[in-house]
Amino acid sequence: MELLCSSAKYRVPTQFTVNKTLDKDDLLMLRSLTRLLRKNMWAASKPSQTKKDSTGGPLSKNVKVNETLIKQSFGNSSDLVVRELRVGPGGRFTVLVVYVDGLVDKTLISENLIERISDQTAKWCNPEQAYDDLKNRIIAVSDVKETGDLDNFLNHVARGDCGLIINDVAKALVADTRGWAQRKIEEPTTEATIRGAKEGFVETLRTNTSLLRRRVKHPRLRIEEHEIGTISKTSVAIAYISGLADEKVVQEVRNRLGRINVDSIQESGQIEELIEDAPFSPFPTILRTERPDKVAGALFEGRIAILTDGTPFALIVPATFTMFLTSPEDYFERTFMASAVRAIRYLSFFTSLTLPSLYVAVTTFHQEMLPTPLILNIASQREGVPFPAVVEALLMEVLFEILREAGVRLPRIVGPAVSIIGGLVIGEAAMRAGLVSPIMVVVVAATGIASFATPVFSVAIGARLLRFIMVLLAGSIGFFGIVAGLFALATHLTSLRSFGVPFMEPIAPAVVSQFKDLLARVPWWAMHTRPALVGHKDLVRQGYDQKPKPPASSGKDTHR
Amino acid sequence: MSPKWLSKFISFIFMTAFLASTLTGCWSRREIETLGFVTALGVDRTEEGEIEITVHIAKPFAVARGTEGGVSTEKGFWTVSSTGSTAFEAMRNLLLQSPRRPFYAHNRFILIGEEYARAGVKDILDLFARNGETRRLARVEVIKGSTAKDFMQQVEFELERLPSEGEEGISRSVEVGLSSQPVECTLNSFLQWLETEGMEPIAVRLELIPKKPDAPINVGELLREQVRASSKHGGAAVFKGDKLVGWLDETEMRGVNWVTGKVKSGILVIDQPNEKGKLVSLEILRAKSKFQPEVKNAQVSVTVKIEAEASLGEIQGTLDPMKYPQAWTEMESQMAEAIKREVMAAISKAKELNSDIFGFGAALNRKQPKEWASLKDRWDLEFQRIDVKLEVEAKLRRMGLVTRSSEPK
Repeated sequence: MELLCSSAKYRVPTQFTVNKTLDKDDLLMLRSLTRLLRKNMWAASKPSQTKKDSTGGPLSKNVKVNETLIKQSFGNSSDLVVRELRVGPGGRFTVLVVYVDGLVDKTLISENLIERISDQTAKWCNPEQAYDDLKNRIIAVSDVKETGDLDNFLNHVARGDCGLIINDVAKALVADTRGWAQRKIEEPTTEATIRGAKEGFVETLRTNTSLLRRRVKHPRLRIEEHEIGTISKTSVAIAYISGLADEKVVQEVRNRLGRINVDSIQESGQIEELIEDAPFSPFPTILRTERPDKVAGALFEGRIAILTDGTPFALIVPATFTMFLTSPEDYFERTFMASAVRAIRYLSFFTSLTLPSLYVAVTTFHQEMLPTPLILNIASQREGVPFPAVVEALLMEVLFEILREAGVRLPRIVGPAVSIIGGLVIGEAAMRAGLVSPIMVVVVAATGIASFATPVFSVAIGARLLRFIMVLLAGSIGFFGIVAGLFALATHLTSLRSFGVPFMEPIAPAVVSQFKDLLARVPWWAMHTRPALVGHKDLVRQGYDQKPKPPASSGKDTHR
Repeated sequence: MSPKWLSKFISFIFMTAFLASTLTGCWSRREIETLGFVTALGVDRTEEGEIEITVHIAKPFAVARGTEGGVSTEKGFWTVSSTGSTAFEAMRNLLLQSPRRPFYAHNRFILIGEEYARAGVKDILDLFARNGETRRLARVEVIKGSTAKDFMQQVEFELERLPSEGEEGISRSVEVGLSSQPVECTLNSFLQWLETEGMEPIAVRLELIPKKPDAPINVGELLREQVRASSKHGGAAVFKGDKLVGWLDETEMRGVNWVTGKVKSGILVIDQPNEKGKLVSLEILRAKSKFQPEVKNAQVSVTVKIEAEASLGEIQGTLDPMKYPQAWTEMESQMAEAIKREVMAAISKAKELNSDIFGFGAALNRKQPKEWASLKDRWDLEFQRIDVKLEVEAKLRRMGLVTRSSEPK
């Protein structure tokens, strides 16, 4: 007989054939399969429900049925291992060991499960006793759970747990045997610092939470795990310090994560886009980082981190604009240097946004703005350039973007070569050919370098895009256009919010107590309070009067 | 994606594109390479009575360093003249000759020929004040004994590629280092002086110094055209109303600056107290002044108080001021005398030209407006017989690390 249950919409393994005469076992199996299918269809049509461990679809008592169901569910995937062990006198008891190859620690399974089960000599009377014995004594793995639900069982197996099923018991044991090839903890490539921790997040959520836990060794660090993605079933963890983070914001994060209804999550960027406050803004309102120290620092300010399995990038909310121009190093370096470097960053952000447009405006509209020698210099360089300044600027900027993209995509060995060839040869050649003026090359290069000086790349990308709009504005109405553009930008930025906190805080609205960490970063002994709008639950973070002083004088002999 | 939202979005994009292209259209766009940067502008009147404008237009390709890094040997500017019945027309007529539109925002000098200045400069001032492109910070200078056109066609400096750069450099150092020309004599202050009651305008005096025409051309060292003539700064052109009436030399001009408190530095030469025929130079460090006009018994008198400090700069003979303190006081009193001489020279010259360049009348107006009201109609006469009381407080501050000047065996 042929059973056809095709429904592409639900993306459930739906087509299979059974081509033999039915016996009792088969009938049982068929019933279970139908049940399973019905449940899966239902789950797919209401995907948000599957996040809770679903009821229904209990395991069968029949080991054969269970084995077939498991194999069918995985569509006979080659990485699924189902090992049948015969134990007890005369091989009375059948134990199924189910795991996905590559997700498990094989040594652990062979030594602590298979070996111990096979060598086992106790005399069991019935399967229930065997089951209890397995659970309580034999399995030498710390985390063992029990489940009677097939779906739950499959989820555990798909995550790297090892499933054990014994015949004539409608329950299964799942032992945490997760262990897979993972990247070493390395220095984060996108956020390298000179001073500070050299460890970065990796793709494994558990490692990442452990990195966090190692920096916050207090039970108040809460890590809540959610599962997002109806098929990918990606673990997403919310981390916060209870008592510092505002419970309402935590609840809002939970709600927003709960609203996500997608089939898969590959990267935290997807979560970011699904929960952010301003989806159409060129600037991100959620900070992403791959540095545990940055996340821990944010947690201590009362912020909340969202860690996603499968990506080293964690999200931090609420995020403000100034955070994007802050590097963890600011807090580790000496205060004056940190403050000076911060000023440089603000300057370079502004430069990367406006420099080409300023050049265009000055050369096309406001030749009176520059000192005579400089304007004559620029004029001499523009001599014989066939394009208007605005076209010249756009041309070079686009070329620069192409170069940058090519440099990023190419293999690490070829990448620099492309940058050099592109930067030097094309720039120099275009200049010599008289297509662009040397000063334009200087402007584009300065802009490019300035955009690399932003610590968080995503905000630099926003400036990169807006730069082109600014050039067009400058090319059509000069400084007036630039000012109008900046005005619109300022209006937009001040209107943004990130999880209830104004994006431009502490600039607009002005939060005076937070000026200590705006342009200048005051010494640590003066950082008494947390950011007022985020850490208001427990505002004072440290004791007062901690400025180092010479030791209390013991008399005049200090001069000796 | 709801269709309503989409149609709104599309119409927004459409409207933006439409408005951006029709409303702005790159208003008053002018590419930098289409402009000719005017660096100096001269005004004369032709024999036919038309106004003649002469401009120096910088050649950017010759002035700035090229892409090769070398400096061009070409002359850095172009001198071109045109005429018209008004200054504006004459300026616009330059378009007939210049392939690049003259751009006046970088103009730093308004040069006026002597003849034109004597006839009155009122005609052209309005244009420079009203026009949006010309700057009021351009210096007003009058060419003694020549037309602006002649001056501009010949003047050149060895050290600068643009004559305006040369003029600028000299003006700045004369103002700061010699104090012998009007300070900040811009178009703006010229207009202010012109309109102030009881005050007459002055302008910088310029002269053309021709070089020897047969001077050998040193081809190896100086490839560009040989400098034919250079200019001499210092002194002032004195106006009465808008008409040029005469000149002040350098000393007299510094006398004016002493009174108005604009002396910044300079050298005062006095006799050496203990040795005949030897001189001492003093470098002026700072100076302050205050003048108070007063009307008493129908006699206008002005009390000018000058405080000056100087340092000992040079002794020709032999003198150890540490050993002879009386020599120090002697030099101080001589310094006061020297300042007085300069001031009196300026006042007598001003009286001779009958032009109140100090602004005594304006000060009286501020202090005693009622008296001024009765005096202002005959201020010309009153200024002639004005009584100037001069109080100079001169101080010699330091003598450097050398106490005694070196002595031959």
